[in-house]
Amino acid sequence: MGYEEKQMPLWLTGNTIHNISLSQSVINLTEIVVSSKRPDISVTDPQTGVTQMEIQQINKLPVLFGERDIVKSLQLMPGIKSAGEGSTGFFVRGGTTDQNLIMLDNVSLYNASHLMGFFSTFNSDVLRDVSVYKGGMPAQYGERLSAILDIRQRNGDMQDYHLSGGIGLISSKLNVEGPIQKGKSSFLFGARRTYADAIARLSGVEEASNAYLYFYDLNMKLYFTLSPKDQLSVSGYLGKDKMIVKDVADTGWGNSFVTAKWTRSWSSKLSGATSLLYNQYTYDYHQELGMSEGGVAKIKDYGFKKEFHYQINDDNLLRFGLHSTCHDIGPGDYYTNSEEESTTLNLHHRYSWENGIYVSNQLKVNGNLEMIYGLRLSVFSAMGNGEYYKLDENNEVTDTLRYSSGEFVKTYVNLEPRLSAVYKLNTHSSLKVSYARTTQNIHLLTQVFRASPYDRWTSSSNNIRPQIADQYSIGYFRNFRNNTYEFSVETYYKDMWNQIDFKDHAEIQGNDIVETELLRGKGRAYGLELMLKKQTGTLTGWIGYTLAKSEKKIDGINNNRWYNAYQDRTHDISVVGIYELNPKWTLSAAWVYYTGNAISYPSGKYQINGNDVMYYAERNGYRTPAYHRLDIGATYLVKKTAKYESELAFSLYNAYGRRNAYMISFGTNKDDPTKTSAYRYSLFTYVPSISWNFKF
Amino acid sequence: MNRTTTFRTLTIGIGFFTLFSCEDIINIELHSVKPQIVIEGIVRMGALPTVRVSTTQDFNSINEYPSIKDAVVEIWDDAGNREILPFNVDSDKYVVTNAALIGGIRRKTYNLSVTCQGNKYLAESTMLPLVKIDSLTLSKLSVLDYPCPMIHFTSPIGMKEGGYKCTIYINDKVLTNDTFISVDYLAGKPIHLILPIFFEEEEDRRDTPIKQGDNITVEMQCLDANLYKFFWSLGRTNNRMANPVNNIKGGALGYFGAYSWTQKKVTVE
Repeated sequence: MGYEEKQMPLWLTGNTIHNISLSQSVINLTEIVVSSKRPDISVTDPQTGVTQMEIQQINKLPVLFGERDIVKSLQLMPGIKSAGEGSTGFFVRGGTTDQNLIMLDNVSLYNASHLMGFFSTFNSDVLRDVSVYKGGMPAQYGERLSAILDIRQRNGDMQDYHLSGGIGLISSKLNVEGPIQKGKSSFLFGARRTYADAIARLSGVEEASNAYLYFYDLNMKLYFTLSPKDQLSVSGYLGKDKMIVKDVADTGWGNSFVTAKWTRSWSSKLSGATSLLYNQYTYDYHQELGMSEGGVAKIKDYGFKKEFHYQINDDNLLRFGLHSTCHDIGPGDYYTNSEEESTTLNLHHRYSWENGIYVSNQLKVNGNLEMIYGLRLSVFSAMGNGEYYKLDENNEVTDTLRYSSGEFVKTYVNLEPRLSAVYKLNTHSSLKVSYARTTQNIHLLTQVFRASPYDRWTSSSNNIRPQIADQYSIGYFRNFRNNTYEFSVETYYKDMWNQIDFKDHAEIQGNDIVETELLRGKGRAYGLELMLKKQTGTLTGWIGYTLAKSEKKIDGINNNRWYNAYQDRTHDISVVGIYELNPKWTLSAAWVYYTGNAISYPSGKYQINGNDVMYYAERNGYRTPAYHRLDIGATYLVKKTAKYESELAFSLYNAYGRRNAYMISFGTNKDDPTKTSAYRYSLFTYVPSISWNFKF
Repeated sequence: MNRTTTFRTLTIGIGFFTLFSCEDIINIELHSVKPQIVIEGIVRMGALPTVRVSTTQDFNSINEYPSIKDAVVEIWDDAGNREILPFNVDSDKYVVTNAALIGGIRRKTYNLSVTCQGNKYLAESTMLPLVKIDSLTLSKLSVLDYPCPMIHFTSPIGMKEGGYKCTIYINDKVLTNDTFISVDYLAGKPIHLILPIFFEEEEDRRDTPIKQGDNITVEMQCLDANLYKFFWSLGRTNNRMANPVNNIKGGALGYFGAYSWTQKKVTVE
């Protein structure tokens, strides 16, 4: 028994309640999809540079290791580029990975990856949707330069209890949800764990016999309807990666947060939300090599957010609010213990207070022109307690300044204007423009080509100025055949100031005065993004193409000339197809191609102590070989009833076995010491996977 | 902190993924650049100082680095000893002949000047007082089937910067990966450190790099701050894709280093 399909247009000019009655049907057994999106939203939405994905869409795509991953799916969209083979890190419009604000339920995560980046922290089963803002950022978002990835956990079912999950070759997950009080409140818990190490041990892999490598994560969301006008939600996340070499070394890292959000509708025109959050990122390591040695680094955020929506009239929707976060960045507490004595080293914490006040208005000027304009005021203060340093022009310390707790060291105030507008040329095409200034005060000190969970974060200080970017974009959007096909072309230009880079062999870890290792400069990025998407029918999918450039000019690198940033990739193509063969089988394929990253390779060699040493003549003067890969997948619906659903998902990652370079190393030839050679290391050729997913 | 071992844990973890990785040789077109001067000046405690001057070669050429024989190479110390070094054909290096310039064990600063192809290069290095290895023992890590050398010494209170470079020899054959121990925060502290040996290129030692009856020698060199930074960064050249940070003014590659050293030997029973 099912229900007849019913379509009705809804004009949302304020909060409204509609009761929709569906006629019973004995033939139509497909699920009811209530979509909050207009089918022509890509043409009519005044927001530019935004990519939205629904979880159902992601679930059909082929995967690596049987684990669906929202971030890897997003990397198939134009303008969003994978940071490397299997990586969940990504570059948006020429920016670095740390210039993306990755938020889960409004809480920004400092490391959104597991297992050195091969899995993202997001368990797709507990997510509702995801939006990526690549440009024209709405004023309610700030704190990062390049992009906002806004991911929301879904609410648990308020009517029935459900158990869902999946069992894969190297990971499994289980989710449980249901009403706390039927119709009024709900819970959702999700858990996920990998067991690749255990499988390797069982398979007799010798290297795995004393080694453990896994991650787990736990998601939680509680939802309460307090009154017809008040809702309260409490979200939490706990993720941990562990690597252990028995009795020798032990390391781990992970995010955890808890946030509570109270949403209230004061009237049909005014609604708002108040949130409190606590967020933490930690890594630790310990090793026993005669002496025991280890360390712990911790970042803590305490945040408050107040947001309002006010529908002034049919043509004006006002949003305003305040975000305030206290950051406590602990770069590391280290210890060395021998039989005779212990040594400790506690690096200075960096405390800061970050505030953003914003106001924006979505204005319908007339039937054709609509815009979102706004202003964000960002105020960032570096605070005591701690030591700060005066540096001379050679980056040498000339004085040490000591501040007590709560004392202001330096405050940066930035006004960030935002504008995004659409002009509808007709019912099926439009022109869009946007401008956004963004700033960033929390910086990741990493070498982009070797990001690791131990990378150090720091904040703007008397020596590190806020990163600032101005981005301009213009786009043409057109839908065909009654919105079955979406086409868009967007072009952008971005200027970036106060960009951070490093001296060669910078010592970032264990160093209190990290500013002495930094170099500063500017960046620019520009590009063209094309997208053709088929939204409905048995065959859906898209073709995306990006032509782009990203450059840096850093004092002290390449004779202060402009040079290609690591994330500079000229061409990036993705072709994705999902084909519903019959009600049981869905087939999918994704092909990606991109130009290699800009990278430093040797331009010669010399000899030290009888060994060949590579000579590097310039930063990023070369490119890694071009990357391409085809993944194929199939989903078989084993059974689907009103109460039970079960499917098998098959994937073949890198189906034609292309040996893409994960790393290229230069050195003396291992078989012929009279020669030097370039060694290519490649991961993941023909990786098949199978996983079983179920839902009660 | 011991910079070398600090993140070894991570390396072991990455080892999991290298199980899936494969290695092959590829051809990459690398630019040819103007040859750069390379200087390797060594003042080893108890030995006559030597200086080798050569140039960089193209990546695809044979691994031969001919010496430049017409450079003017001069070494002097802070005690007033000075010599322009003659080129020694047998060793293919410039070698000191003045015995007063033999590397001494007391704290002494040495200077180097190399004039070559119209350019002058200058460097300075200080011989730090000798820090002896108290003992060398063997210790077994639970994850390895064979014992590894473990050094025991005390870093003197007076040594505030620089560090130690430990080189392992198995039956007089040198292992390529040195261990670095920075003196930061270790002044006056006793050190007991296992130097793990994970890999060995030789076919018959790939799984068991250390066998019964092997003689293991560890040489520990005491390096001043600039020299320590050079060798430490030399070990990371490929990883960081950057030339090591050196102590030669004028733009030459290489280093000029005065160092004291100590060795201990142990036999695997």
